[in-house]
Amino acid sequence: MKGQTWVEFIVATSIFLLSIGFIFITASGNLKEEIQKSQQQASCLKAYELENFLRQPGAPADWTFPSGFSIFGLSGNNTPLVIQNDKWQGMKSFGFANISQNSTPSQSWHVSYDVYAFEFDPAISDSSCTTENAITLCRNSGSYLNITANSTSQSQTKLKLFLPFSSATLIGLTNESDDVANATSANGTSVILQLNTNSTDEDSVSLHLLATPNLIFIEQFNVESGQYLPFYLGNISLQDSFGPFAPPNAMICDTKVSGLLNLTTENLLVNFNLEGW
Amino acid sequence: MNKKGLFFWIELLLLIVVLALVILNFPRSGDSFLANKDSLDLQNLGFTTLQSLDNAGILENFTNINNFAQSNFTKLSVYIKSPLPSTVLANIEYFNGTDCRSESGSVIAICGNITRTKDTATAEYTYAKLANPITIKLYLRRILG
Repeated sequence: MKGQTWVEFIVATSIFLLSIGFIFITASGNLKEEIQKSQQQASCLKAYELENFLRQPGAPADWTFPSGFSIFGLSGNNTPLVIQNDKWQGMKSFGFANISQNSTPSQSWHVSYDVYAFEFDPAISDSSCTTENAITLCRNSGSYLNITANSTSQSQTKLKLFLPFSSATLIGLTNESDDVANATSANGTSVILQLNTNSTDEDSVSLHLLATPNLIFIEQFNVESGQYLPFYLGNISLQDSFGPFAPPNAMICDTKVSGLLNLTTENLLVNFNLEGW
Repeated sequence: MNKKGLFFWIELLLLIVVLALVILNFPRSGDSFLANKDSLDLQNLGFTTLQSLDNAGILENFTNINNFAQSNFTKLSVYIKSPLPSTVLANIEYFNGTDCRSESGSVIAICGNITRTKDTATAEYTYAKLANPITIKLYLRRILG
């Protein structure tokens, strides 16, 4: 009878320990998930807070580099989400450390923009176009858009432009047999380019616009290259960013908003990507 | 040590099971914010896209300020949809305070009478270039949502 009691004791203890272990492992798994959700939610709130800096002009409203500001903001006065390019450049000139000291963003954020549309006004002609080691769109003589890919290493540039309610013809300037240049029509003209460049190579295509669209949309842009190739309209960067990049395993949360980048003479339509972690 | 009967162990086992069920089913912290984030982001992107097009003068360009019915709805819809990601489906409606118009400009009985799934985000933007302000209703849904 005594042995039977020990067996029962061992069985009961095993069941108890297994049950406790099961509850502990499951509960701690849930707890980890809850912590991750909380961290991600905090990151998201940080990303949403960044939108304030795109909606407010700051104080003073016409702050410049290096005079500085007491409240940080990038938009024009009473024009939320219309970002002043001189303020954006001023922000970059200040450097990350000074922005942190003078304003409220905490350190773990990154803001970037991609231009998705630009005006094609016959009155606008890009007087200077940065073409070396870059992908460049250059407006010329009111009805031409020159597209240039220049690299010093093997690179492939894929670009898709959409010209609403406009017709255009492609003129090969220095494009080569391995390049692709197509134009199709549907509610306008879509231009698909694939420019393959190698060391000290420059491929160029010109687009002759027979009817001027209100905007030209950049529907796709992708570069595969061993080197960094910036993307320009004239000498204005169509992609830019500011702030540190997130470390590996950071709990990143991002959000996108659309806005304008004001260049004094014209506006570029941009998508901002706001990251917090 | 008194020997415990069968019912004692059954009761103990039931107690453990009940305790486990209670602990494992404690209310989880609300994650509605994250669950709805995608929809909120889409709504914000839709609104700010319309705002940008307005600030760039595009909406005004294709709107007939004297007679809204004569506006160029084909161009409006192409310009409104082009900035959106290719993975987003968009439906557009226009409301000028009296008439509701579809994407093509035809008058429809009421706005919002379209099939909307639970992940459909609605962005509304009003621009006042006319005596009657125009509200653009943009219904957005991710294809891969």
